[in-house]
Amino acid sequence: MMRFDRLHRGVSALTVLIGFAVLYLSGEFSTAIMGGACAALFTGPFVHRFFVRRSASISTNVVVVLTGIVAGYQAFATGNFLYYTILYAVFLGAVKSLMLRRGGDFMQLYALSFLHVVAGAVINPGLSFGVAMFPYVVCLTLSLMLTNLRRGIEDNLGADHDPTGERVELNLARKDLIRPGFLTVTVGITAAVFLISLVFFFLFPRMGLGFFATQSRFGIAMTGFSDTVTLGDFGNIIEDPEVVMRVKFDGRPTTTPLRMRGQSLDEYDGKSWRKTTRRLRGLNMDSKARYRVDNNEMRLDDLAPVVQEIYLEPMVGTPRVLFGLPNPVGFKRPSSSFAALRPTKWRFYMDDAHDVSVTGPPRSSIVYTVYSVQQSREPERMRSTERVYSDLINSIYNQLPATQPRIKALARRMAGDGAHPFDAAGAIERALKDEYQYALNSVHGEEDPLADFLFRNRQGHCEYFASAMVVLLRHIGIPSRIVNGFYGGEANEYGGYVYLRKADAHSWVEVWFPGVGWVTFDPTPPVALDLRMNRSWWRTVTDAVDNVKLWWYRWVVEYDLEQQVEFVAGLFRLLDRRDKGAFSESGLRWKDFKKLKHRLKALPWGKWALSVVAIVALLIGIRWLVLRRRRSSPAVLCRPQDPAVKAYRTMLKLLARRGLARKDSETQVEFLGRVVLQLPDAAHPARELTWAYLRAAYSSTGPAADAAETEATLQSLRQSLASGQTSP
Amino acid sequence: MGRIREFFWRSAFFPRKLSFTREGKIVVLISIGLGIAAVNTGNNLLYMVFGLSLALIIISGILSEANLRGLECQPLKSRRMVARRQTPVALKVVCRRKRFPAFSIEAWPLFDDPGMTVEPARFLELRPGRDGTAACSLGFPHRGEFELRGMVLSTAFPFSFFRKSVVVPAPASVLVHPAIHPVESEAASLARSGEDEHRPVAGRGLEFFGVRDYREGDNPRHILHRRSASRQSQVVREFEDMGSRSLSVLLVNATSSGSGGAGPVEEAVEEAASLAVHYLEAGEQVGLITGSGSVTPGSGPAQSERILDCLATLPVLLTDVPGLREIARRVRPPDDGARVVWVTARDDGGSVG
Repeated sequence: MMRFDRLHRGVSALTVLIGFAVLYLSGEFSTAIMGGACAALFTGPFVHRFFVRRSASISTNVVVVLTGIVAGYQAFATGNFLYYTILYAVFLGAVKSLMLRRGGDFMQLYALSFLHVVAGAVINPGLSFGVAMFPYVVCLTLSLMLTNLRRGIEDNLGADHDPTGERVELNLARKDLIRPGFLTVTVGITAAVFLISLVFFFLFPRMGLGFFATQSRFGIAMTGFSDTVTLGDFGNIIEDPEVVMRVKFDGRPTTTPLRMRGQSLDEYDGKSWRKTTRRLRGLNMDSKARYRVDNNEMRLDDLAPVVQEIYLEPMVGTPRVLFGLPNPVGFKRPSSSFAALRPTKWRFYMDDAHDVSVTGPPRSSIVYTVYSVQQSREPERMRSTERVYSDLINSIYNQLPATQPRIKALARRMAGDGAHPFDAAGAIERALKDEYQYALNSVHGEEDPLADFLFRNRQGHCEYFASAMVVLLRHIGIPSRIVNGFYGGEANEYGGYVYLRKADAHSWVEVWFPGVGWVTFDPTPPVALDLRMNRSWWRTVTDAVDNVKLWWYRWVVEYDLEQQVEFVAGLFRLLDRRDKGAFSESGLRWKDFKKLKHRLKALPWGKWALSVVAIVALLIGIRWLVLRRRRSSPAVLCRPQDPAVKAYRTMLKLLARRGLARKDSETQVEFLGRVVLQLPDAAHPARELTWAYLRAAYSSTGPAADAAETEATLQSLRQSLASGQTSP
Repeated sequence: MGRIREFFWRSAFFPRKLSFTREGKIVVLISIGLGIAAVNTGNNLLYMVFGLSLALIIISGILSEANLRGLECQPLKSRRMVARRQTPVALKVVCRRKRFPAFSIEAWPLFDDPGMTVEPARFLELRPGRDGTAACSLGFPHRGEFELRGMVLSTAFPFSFFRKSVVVPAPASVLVHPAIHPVESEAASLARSGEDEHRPVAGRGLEFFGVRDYREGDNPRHILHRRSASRQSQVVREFEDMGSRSLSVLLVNATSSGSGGAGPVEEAVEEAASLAVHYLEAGEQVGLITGSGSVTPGSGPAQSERILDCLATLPVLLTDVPGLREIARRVRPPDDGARVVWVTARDDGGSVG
């Protein structure tokens, strides 16, 4: 049993620590700052007596005010009000944790800690916030209850009239203040706080009437998906494990690697790629609210497209590039009854290069469905395509900067003279794969990095390979372009989807074939791509974490009016009797419960709710079993280790050996009467032992029996039994 | 605001009385701010924290209610107090519940007078089926009869955000005696004049002195049963006190309406009470004569109670000068030659003569 004061201070420190952790995990505050705050937190229990002195208290107040002035000045000077406000709140929390004396001080500390968590809700939308909330609620509830108890003790002892605080401290050092009943009540209260919080969270209407309504998530900064991409940009993100998108296939087994096409770039100036086909036009919608990308007259369903549902993390910049398998023919957003009410609507656009982008609420994730058709690469058919290109294609996709003549020579050497563009593209692809090496951190000259890659260094990452292939193809008059997207991905067993990270960003090449369209070529050595997909033993854990993260983002961070209506409608459906009857008229049957289970599982939170219900039912069951066992088992008298209790049991054994066993229906005193009658010599020690036992058993507050004295009495009994005669 | 609060507390329409603690006010303000911020920004995590704060408030309300259930506070036993002095009173609270204990309970008697100072009895934990006794401190601002409305059971459990209270009706009245203070030596010596003249008085002697009505505190063995039956009321034998003589405290409980109000009379009442107690403790037989009634001389603790009870409810008469003379005429020394102590009201306090 821990001392009350120690327990209270420990739980309070943990509460504040979680608040600090929420802020720290946002990544906005340095380790030094948060480490200092934590150091103050753990120093508090040892130095709080020092702050009783008036001089120390005044000095602290002066420091707090001065720091406030400095923080205010910094906030105005830098314009970063949020950062400095939170920083000051952390400072106040650290200072307060040093001077915790009375219950009021603790309450102020909790108020500050609560503000830390509120600040964390603003700056840290990640899963870490959700993970921290659970222990935070437990600790906060326990802290508040312990503070309530502490205040009761202080009021009882008149802490205001106890300047030294000695009496209060003595009482707070007691170990018997926290009883099992208190802990049971605490557990119940914590569970209730959780449940009510969840109910409020889900049912509080998301009206979206905010004057400053913004999404709380920060967009991912992705180089390589803007209109201009400098050669070498991908090298910066290729080791970043942050998940960018998750792909789920409709009615198709999930296979990796995936090639998720993003956008194409056409103009190369020797150092960077630029998109010149930026003219956007809206997409037409078919009868099933799908936006068509192609001009195909056939119905989309007749094309037998591969259907992919994509959850794309928020990204910086607008319009945002949409990703999908190559040859996308249609896009679709999930249907919503509230779409018309949104202040910022989702709109799909396509540019002249048939790349699709979307505008919508900034910094929010987007869920959409892509319909892609399989690309045909039969050599016969490809070789039968014409070699004549339109002026438009030639002007855009055969553009070249002033490059060194030796590149053209290299292109001819690699492609072979007179070969069909399909064979030439294949030959260049193979040559690059075979003759060049993949390297993430290769250094290339700034003057002409591509020439540096092709002739000097001969190693680089995917951008160099793709750029080299496009430039080589254009030198021999084959229209081509570079395409940025993602390649790879990992299948998540728990969620049944494939997730792609920033590190999966990739560049490849599309070559134009009249009558066929754009065909994909990838000159990057496959060994390098395989290496990138190398998985560690940690994968199972990361899969589970990513699944929880997806769930957290979709159902907590991005929970909106649409999901709320869906959720409530689902609840009502549970009770809908018209829907083949939730319960039969003849009473409840097993299949009714099965129906209810299926309906619960169909809810967005159904699986979790079922899990929670199952856990609660399990806990109640265990508790019931424990209570039942306690009731059915013979009552255990208090202090079984008391020497008197032990001695009495020994006495019963000794007497039983002499043929004097205690009956079940006999009380201790009745049995004693029988012993006195039948064993007069043993009457005295038996009487002593019996009353010592009764005192130990029925008086929980009295002192324990003297072991030596009890042993002496027992010895006396043994001697009496050895010498004495049994009366008839 | 104070009047509304008073009304709320006095009203029987609201069985539960709820008041915010300082922390509770802060929590409510933070919750309101969080709600506004969450609706404005659409930040779901703010909704989550908002939900947490609301949950804490709701749980606080539910648990404080549950914490007060099944508790019984035994009515106030002590019916006599002293004015302007914190008096400790033992209060017993019983927890009638079967399972869960009650935490952080406070109990105190609720009086109608707003000027009272009450330090509640506090119980950290009341285990199921057990009871607890703790001291409550009561301070009455003045003498008189105070109406007790009931016993208050209150709790700030579990989070100290609110204090919820319930008033258990227990109507009764408490008699508050005037404050007693040490008697000045001058006043004590005044009563010692005229010791040579002796007249028999009732007391603890052996000789029969007379018969009088039974009074609380009298020895039941002295009851004359036959005579009591014939008179339809209990009468007792009185004995002549051979060892002491009676002393009467004469108090003019009136003042002219143009003077300093009831204050000087109140001081005179306290002076009279202090003198009476002083002499009774010294073993004297003491009586009281006022403009509104008298107490025949007697001795011992029961007589002390009788005199103080009389003084507790003694009215302060505000009258003009002729009326004052009339009252003073009523307050006259007894004819038995007993010693007397005059206590009158003066603007600068009670005077003894």
